[in-house]
Formats: sequence, structure tokens, C-alpha cells
Amino acid sequence: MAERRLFKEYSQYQKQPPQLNNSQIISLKPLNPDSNIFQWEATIAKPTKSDSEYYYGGQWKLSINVNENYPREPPSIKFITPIIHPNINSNTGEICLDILKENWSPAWNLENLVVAILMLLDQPEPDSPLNLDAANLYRYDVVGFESLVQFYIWKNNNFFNVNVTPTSVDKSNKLIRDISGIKRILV
Amino acid sequence: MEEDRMDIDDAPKSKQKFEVKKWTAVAFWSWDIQIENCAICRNHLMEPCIECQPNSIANGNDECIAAWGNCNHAFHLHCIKRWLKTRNACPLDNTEWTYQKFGK
Repeated sequence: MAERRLFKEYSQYQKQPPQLNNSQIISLKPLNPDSNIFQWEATIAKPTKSDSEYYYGGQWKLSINVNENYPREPPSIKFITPIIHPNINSNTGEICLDILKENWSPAWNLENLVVAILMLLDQPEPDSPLNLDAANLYRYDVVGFESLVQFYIWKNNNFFNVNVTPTSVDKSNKLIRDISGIKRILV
Repeated sequence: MEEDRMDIDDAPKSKQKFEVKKWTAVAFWSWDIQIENCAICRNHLMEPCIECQPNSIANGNDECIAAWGNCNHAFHLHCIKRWLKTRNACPLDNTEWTYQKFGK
């Protein structure tokens, strides 16, 4: 059951990519679809301040581990990229989210869960913390919280769009050269 | 009444402009249920569930039926049965699950 439903979701995501439904989803796909449909990876981002009050400019990777009992049991989702958040363990990346645990329903899919995690980033629940220091900072000093979140993005260098593709590297090179006045033949 | 009779009498006399050679009727249809896909396995409710699907092509599976709860949500009986072992709640609205009816 798990395998067949995952393949069904995978083909659905290829037809209607999650990044078209939600611009904060950069990618959502199995790591090796041909050999293992149970291991997925997602990249999420909060590109601008209008996307997130605290997490703007950041980009994070999530590991999604689905087991044989899916969709009767939820997948296990963790942050691979370190993040400061009241409901995320800063060492393990474990996420405290009700629908990943007791409130899971088999009607959810992987895309729904990624969207739920994106919403959790901006609506922390300091009353059920996995990171007590972050929860206290969020509760008593929001400006300090924002600074710490931003410092972590800087420290781990997980800025949005930091993994530029070769074509955009070319483009930026072109731009710099054009500004410096050196004429280049554009390929 | 007088005029009506006149029309009928007159009709054969006038030359026919066209005649119907072929009549093709087109009908549109859809399933008469609220939810079309089982939210658990994502297969159509009129088709077997994702587990029975590979066997059904050979066997013509009639045992894989749909089941409705009191909340009016429908799933494959196989799918909802398996889920209820985990939690006795409708996957779509989280209310306590009670079977209402079964069928295709």
C-alpha cells in the first residue's frame, strides 16, 4: 500500500509540481525514485520578509522518511539544515507538530505536511517547546529572536537561492562584466 | 382548429427543404456520489482500492466495496478498516467513525 500510494503521489507531483502551488516550496521529490520511493527530500524557503517575519532570506532542507505503514502512520520529517525554532530540536532537527504525531490523518499527503511545516515556522507554539531557549526568547524578546534566527541563517550560509545553477552563475558573470564596461561576445 | 387542419393538409404539397438522414444523441454523465476518490488510497471509489487493484484485473474483484460513515464521507472498506485500527475517527473530519452503509 505504502509503495503504491507514494508512486501515485510522485506522479501527481510531476504533473502538478508543489512549487507551483506554493512558492515557498523549492522542491519535493524522492532521493532515488528508481531504487527507493520511501526516502524523500524537500527544500523549503522564506524568500522575503513578506514570506516570514523572522525567517526571511532563509532556505532549509528536510528529510522525509516514509515507512511501510504509510498512510496509516505519518512519515518522519526532520530538518537537515540547522534551524532555531521553539518547536524544532536544534541538534536533531526533530519537529514537534501535532499532525506529524497524534493528529495525523491518512487523508494528508507529503505536500500537505511540507505546507504545514512552512506555517509552523511563522506560528511557533512556545508552550510545547523542543528548544526551550528559543521558546523563551520568542516569548520575551521577539527582536532578539529574529536576530538569532537571522544569525543562524548567516552562520550556516543557508540563504535562499544560494545554490545557484550554472546558468544563473553565467548570468551574474555577464552582469558584472557588463557593468565593468568590458565587452563580451554573448554565447 | 380550422387553420391547424389546413396546415396538415398543406404540408405534403410544399417541397421539403431537407430531410434528417442520421440522428446522433449525446449524453453526459457523472458518478452520483459526493467524493469521487478515496482519500486514503487516492483510487476512485468505483474502482478497487490500491491494494486490490493489481488482482482485480485478473479476478474481476467484487469484494472491494466502498463504505460510508455517519459523517457522509466515503472510503474503500479495506482502506477505512485498516485506518480505524489506529484511531476510530474519520480521516477527513476527525469525528468518531460509525458505519452508515456499504456498497458500490
